[in-house]
Amino acid sequence: MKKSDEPTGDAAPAVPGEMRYSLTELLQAVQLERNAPTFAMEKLDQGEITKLYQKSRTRRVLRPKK
Amino acid sequence: MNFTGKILVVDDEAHIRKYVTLMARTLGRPTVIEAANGQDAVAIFAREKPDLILLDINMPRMDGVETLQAIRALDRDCVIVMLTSLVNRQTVEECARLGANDYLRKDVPQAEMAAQLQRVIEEEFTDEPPAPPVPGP
Repeated sequence: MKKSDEPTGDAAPAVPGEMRYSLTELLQAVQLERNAPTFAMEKLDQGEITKLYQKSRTRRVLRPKK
Repeated sequence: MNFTGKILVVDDEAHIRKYVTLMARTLGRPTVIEAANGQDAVAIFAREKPDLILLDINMPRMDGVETLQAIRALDRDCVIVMLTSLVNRQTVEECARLGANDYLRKDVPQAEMAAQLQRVIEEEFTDEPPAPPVPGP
């Protein structure tokens, strides 16, 4: 005998409803997170640090030794 | 690349300076100068004009961030690499904003630190002369 709360198998699977988010609110949430002290004190690994420092570099020519 | 430039190693701990100096010497034939604090580093920088500065952050009297600002005020072009165990996002981003060229972790095995430093040198320096300007039509 089946328990009443078990799925019967003949019911249609529930379709998740559409979720909409406001871009403004999302950006505000990101900004709040970035300003949080825990974010500022987050420890970075070398890969993340290198990404932060990647930019267009001008390579310098070494001066000859005197 | 066989690095032959002048490197200024700035760290308040003598054994770390020695460690970094030995590592730097594996990258070529650099001239290595050492400074034990930020104030000395600024004075040595003005006199020696090194090509590359490896700069610790936690130092007494004048820390690495203040030293970075002082040297950048004197010279906008020299390569300054922060070499530190302090890796929180705030400090990493602040040093980038103040003009550090790169930021390397000090609390890693020597081989990894040497590989990272080699990468920085390859990215920042070349031993080839700049190409002559292409004449216009």
